[in-house]
Amino acid sequence: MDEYVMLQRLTEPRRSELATTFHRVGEILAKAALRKPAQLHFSIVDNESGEPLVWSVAVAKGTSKVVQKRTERADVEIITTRDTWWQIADGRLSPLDAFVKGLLRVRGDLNLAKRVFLVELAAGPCEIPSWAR
Amino acid sequence: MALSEGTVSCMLLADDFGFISIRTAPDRLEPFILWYGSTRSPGPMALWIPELSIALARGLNVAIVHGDASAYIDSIRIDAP
Repeated sequence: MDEYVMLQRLTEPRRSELATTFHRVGEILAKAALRKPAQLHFSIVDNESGEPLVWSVAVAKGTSKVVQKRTERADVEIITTRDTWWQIADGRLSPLDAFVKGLLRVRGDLNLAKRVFLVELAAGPCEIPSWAR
Repeated sequence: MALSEGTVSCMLLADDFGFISIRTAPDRLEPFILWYGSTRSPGPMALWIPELSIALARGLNVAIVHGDASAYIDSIRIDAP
């Protein structure tokens, strides 16, 4: 099985709140050269209750805004469980591995999703597998 | 379980993987996994691939059942035009 690229660490050693990871996503993407404003939704399903919590990350013109609610429009939506997102955000699980293991869904603008998760948030340069190009 | 409906936008098939993309809105795609590696029985795939190919060619509406946080297809329904 191929090994796919991990994300840079979005977690902090002493803070285990999920919100921290989405603020970090916003900070990184605000510095990235995205072609146009982007709105990301992270639907995080609680492993025990099964209820989703949604964080929205809006990025535009070098700034980002994170809110814990579903906003009107999402260019990209990631749907996964709390445990899986924590592993991804901690740099222990590749988003592509999570996808092919049935632990994560992605929908919306798939080119933007690839740019965000395989380039901008990646821990380093990676070769994108043929099936994800 | 979750249900996603739309039209088949793309099929990507190889020895070790099979993916489809479903267009659920004009600017909204979602990729789903038929198989990846050798983790699934080939039986259902042999039935699904021709059906999905027809849906792709004819622009038919398809409904896909999958896990809430999983892109693996559990079952498909293809609607008549």
